[in-house]
Amino acid sequence: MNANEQVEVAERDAQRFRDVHQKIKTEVQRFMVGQEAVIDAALTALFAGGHVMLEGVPGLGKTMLVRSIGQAVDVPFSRIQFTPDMMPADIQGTNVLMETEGGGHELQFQEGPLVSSLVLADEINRATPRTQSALLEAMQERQISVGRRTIKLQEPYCVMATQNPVEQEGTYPLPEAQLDRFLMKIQVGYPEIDEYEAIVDRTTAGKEPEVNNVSSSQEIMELRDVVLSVPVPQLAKRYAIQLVVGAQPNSEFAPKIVNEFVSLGPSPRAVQSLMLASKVRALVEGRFAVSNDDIKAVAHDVMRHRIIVNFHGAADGVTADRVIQDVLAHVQPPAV
Amino acid sequence: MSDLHRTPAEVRAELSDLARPVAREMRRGFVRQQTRRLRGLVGPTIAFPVAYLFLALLLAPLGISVHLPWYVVVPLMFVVPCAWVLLRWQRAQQQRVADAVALRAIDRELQLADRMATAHEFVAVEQPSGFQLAAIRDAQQRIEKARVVRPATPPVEPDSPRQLLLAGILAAVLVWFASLVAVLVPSSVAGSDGELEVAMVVPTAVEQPRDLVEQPDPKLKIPEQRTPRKAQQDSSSSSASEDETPSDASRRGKNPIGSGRSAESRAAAGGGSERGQPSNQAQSTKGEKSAKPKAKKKPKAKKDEEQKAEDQKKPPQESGSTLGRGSGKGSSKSPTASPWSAKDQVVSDDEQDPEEDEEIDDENDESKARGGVQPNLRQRKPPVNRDLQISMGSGKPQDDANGRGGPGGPKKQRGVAQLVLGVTFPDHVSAKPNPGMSKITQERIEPQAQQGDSISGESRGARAAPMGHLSRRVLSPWMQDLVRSFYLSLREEGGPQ
Repeated sequence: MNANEQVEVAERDAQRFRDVHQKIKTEVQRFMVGQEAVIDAALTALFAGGHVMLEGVPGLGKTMLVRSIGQAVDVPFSRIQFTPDMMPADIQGTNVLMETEGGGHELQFQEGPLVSSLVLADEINRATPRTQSALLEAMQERQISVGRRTIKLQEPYCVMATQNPVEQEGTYPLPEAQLDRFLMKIQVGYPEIDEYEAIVDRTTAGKEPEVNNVSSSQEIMELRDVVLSVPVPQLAKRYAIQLVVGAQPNSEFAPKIVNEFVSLGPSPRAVQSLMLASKVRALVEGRFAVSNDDIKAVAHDVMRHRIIVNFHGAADGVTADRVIQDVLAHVQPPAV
Repeated sequence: MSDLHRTPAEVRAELSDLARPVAREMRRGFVRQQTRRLRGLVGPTIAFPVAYLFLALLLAPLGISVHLPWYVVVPLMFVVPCAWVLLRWQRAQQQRVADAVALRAIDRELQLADRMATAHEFVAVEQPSGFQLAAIRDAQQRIEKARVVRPATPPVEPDSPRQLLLAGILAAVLVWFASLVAVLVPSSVAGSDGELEVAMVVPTAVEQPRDLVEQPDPKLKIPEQRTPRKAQQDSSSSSASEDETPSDASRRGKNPIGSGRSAESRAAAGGGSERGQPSNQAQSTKGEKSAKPKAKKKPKAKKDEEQKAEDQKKPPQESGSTLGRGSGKGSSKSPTASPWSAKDQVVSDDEQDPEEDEEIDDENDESKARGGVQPNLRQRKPPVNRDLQISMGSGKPQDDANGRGGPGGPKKQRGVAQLVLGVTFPDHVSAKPNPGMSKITQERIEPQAQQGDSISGESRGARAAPMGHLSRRVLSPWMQDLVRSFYLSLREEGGPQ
């Protein structure tokens, strides 16, 4: 394949990506009013092959967003409503005594809702750590182990979890190890004031809009390969590394706020996530390589849940977003 | 529209052509920025004055004057800033702006999201991937647009000259002060090293016998210039020694120099007559301290020679040889010249000032000489208050409180002392004792008639018993007159009073 053909293939893949992304987004927006940045972030996680955590107060449409994405992309979709009494077997699956045709009985493994492609883990912080840890293997290894049985999960596999920042009584905050496995943590805020009217019209008129299947799991997998083939310039790579290192306390690029108020900085997994999310954004923006602007744009969503503010920071009202803001202002893109 | 089917090398050359003028313009802007930045000139402007002042202050104790005339100072003040500007301009000229930096500036100006810089990097890749080639072609489409638009270099505005003006004023003040220091130094201290040495030797030489006094080197001249105070002292002391009668001197507690005395007493007397010129005796003890700043400059060998000569000259010391004659310094202790008595001699005012700095050292030395066991009683400081008595919240400030007695009264009332038995504390409970619950019981009882004994009436007779004590008996007027006349007649007759 000569250079021109390579360029044509790349341009065609990039164009296809943009088309599919736009189709899914349009379908989701038929159901979901506003929240464009949230939809983009959720689709970024889907195309980058990561998992996403949606955090927001009740009533903002988190569950509806995930359900609509599952309907727009023709992939197996399952929903788990986490409760404190839920056990790992409830989500992974367990052996059930079944009656055979001959009148006998045998133990059959019945898969739990985790065995799916798009999993909505609703209110994940209400489950006990034991049940939450059952998600770890599924999210990272893309497989679940029950007894001696190991089940490979079907790709594309994406866990979209929701979490309520209020009503923390009786909840179990996710451990850092599990938080790190999420590619992004998206803050879902209130809609704009002019979007309320559309919300009322769509949800109280008695006719809910339908979301059509505009893509498939196969197409999602192909587009994931396209994402992985987006090159990253050396300067952008260095900038992403400096940003992540800058959010680690007492590092070379750390600003004052990090040294004072951050107890735990992002891991190297954050650089991987920054690169993957930046690649998706570069394709969405119609470019063929990652730029510093892409890294800046996804930095908040990628690093937010990977920065743990210490006690003094929490007492002073310092949030992870403020830390990231200061890191972005402090770490300048390398010139050469 | 440029041809999109070009080789990476051609694209690279195009990008370099695009970057070159921008890099040149950026370098010019950098030079302008460097040369117009007045803020950086503040340091070099005051560099020379600070160095001048530092040198003047450093050499002042040594008596070396670094006074420079104004026609030397003023050019030197301008040399350093001008050299600084020249150096900075030269460095800015040598600054090279890489093509990648220039292309990044173009990207920023045209909001191309690093397309040019990315393409510049990808054209250097030996076997670029499809996406890298697509990125190069993507940038190639925008080269023509980038040629038209020149990235705007940030306008370089010179800094406010206010800081530089203030720095200039500060530099002038520093130079003036340094000149002042340099001018004043020779008047207070000798003008050169040689002169300083001779000036230090002179007071000691007055006390020594003629044959032991070193003849000053003819090359070294004794300085004529002294401080007014010193000159006044010298003149007054010399005139006093010449004109005063022995009675005048003794009235001041200073004996005239007499023959036949011990060398030590003579030395003490000499110390009294020559104020400000301590004797050799005084030099060995307290007087040594008064002459210390100058004596320190004296070579040690010379000092030893003088001491040896003094010892040879000194006759065997008589015990109490100066008893009753009084020390020249007017010591309150025994005039017997001993090292300890000499140490306690009262020093004159002009000797007091230089000694103040050394008092603490001497006291420390004394304390060390006693083995550090006894405290120095000269300090007369009150002992540390170790009273742990609770002040019961009186709130009076303790003058001798130094924190070793524990917390103050209010704190003790609130703290652990509150729990100690015997420490009273006010009862803040303002209430009445609980009366308890009261119960009212009502019973329905019918009234019942009761029989009572009847009493029969009888007459009562006159009182037969004595009346008893009456508090006052009222006399009638005639009876009062009778009693009065009785006593009057009794007095006239000289009866019982």
